[in-house]
Amino acid sequence: MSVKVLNAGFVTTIQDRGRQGFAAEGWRACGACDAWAARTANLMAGNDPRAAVVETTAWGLTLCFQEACVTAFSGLSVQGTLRGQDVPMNQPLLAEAGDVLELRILQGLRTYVAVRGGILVPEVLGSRSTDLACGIGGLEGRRLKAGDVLPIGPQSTDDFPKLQRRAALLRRILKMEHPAAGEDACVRVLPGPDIGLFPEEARRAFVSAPYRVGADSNRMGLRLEGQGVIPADGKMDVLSGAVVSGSVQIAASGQPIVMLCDHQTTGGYAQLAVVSPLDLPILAQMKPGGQVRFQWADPSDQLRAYRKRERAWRFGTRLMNGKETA
Amino acid sequence: MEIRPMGIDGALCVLGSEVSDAVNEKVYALKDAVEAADIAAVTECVPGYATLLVRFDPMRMDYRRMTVLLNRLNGSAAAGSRREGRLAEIPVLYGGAYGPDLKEVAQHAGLTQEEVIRIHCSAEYRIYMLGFLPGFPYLGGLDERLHTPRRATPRPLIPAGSVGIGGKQTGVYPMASPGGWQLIGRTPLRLFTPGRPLPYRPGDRIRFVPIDEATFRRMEAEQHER
Repeated sequence: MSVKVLNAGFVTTIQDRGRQGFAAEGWRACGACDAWAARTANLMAGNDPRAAVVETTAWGLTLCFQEACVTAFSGLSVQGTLRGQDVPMNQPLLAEAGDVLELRILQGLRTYVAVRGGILVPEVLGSRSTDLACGIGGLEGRRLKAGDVLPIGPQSTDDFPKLQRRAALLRRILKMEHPAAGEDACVRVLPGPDIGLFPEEARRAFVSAPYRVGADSNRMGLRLEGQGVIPADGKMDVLSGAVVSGSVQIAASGQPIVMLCDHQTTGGYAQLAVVSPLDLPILAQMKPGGQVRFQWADPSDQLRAYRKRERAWRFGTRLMNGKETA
Repeated sequence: MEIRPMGIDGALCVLGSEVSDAVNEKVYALKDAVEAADIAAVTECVPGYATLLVRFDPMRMDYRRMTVLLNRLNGSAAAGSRREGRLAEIPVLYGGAYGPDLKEVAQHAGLTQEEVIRIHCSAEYRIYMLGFLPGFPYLGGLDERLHTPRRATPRPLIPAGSVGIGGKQTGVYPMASPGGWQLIGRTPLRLFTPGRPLPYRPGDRIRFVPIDEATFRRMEAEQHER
């Protein structure tokens, strides 16, 4: 059972929630850069959130389903056609054997395609995510190319009408809107572990004006250009230690670098802030040249909001799998 | 010990503010204690030179409760004894094609190549942490005489197993990678295999042992058989 890649687009890889638990040995987590869109695609395809999906960057891709299956795609704004007909994002879709799904990214940077049961490439260290730097995981540790054949599990599509009904119900109960969907890309940040090195003026400066996303940005992180942030005694170096996705490090130049999914496990720059996990998907959709503003947020608020959202996701998964009555 | 929040799902324990064996020992003592406590909500521990990041599931745990647990564990960790770090010996074929920058390092130090090799092999280097790449050891204790600035232009590809010097640091590239270090030799050991244990762990010490080309070839062949 498989899906064939007709046109792989640009920087297309298999990703799941990332490689967890091996950071102490230097293994970066990787995983879907936009966890919201990956999860939504999986949800609509009736999948467990741990299922592996296809992530593609910048413009789109074309897939051909070898058997009938359930599929879904998500992103910020994506145009899709299946069998030549327009199909919407964030909904379960029924593909027949031989159907071609063509996606074009209209807004944002990344889109995700889920297939029922997940993309079944082998796991490496408990994850199917591609680590491009190490050449492991995903499909042979590399970017996808035309002609690639993606393994999927046996498909049954008899319950597709039920999935559609459940998805419609879910959309009435939960607001399924990408965090970046508003007009203003404002990203909430929490105080980072090295915030003590930065005086009040520096902390205010960080949120005073938008930053431009630099050209040298990728899955490892965003290099931002704008208001410099200087610590109290000009001391830029800290002892190397762990960083996380969302860590905002201040480079020697005073310019911030935000860690994303492929970040190295440790860093030697001061961490001024950590982006709230709820807003990481906003950054995952930012193209070079885009503008982003930060605002300081309260950790208790963000924890509460995160837990509320996570409970909603889990409810959604149970509903789609018929394990919940609404 | 100071603890600081790292996002909504992390507590960064700061055990000191310098690169020293004593501080780094405390990091691993705490890591051992956290792992032994087997707290269900803890997802992983990531050590640094002087810090330990403890990550947890924010659905089951919060920062405040985590700090209470960590302070308690640190108390008992300080009192207890930790497992002995081991000594890992890394065989290295120095110079020639495998250490293209050995000559430059020697020149920079005003020493002969043989003296550089002798000094490099005479120390036991503590592994402070792993990072940058899987299995890449951050080693402390490189003799000052061998401190050499990184190359002005990094190489696009350094072969796996390359042993090098970068500034005050020495180490070994577990896999092929771009990099700017001065390469002085290569180990035939295949350090990087997902799922297979590394020949060393943080908290262990590394000693480099010089070998000749015949031994290198034999060891390389043995690695491939596994």
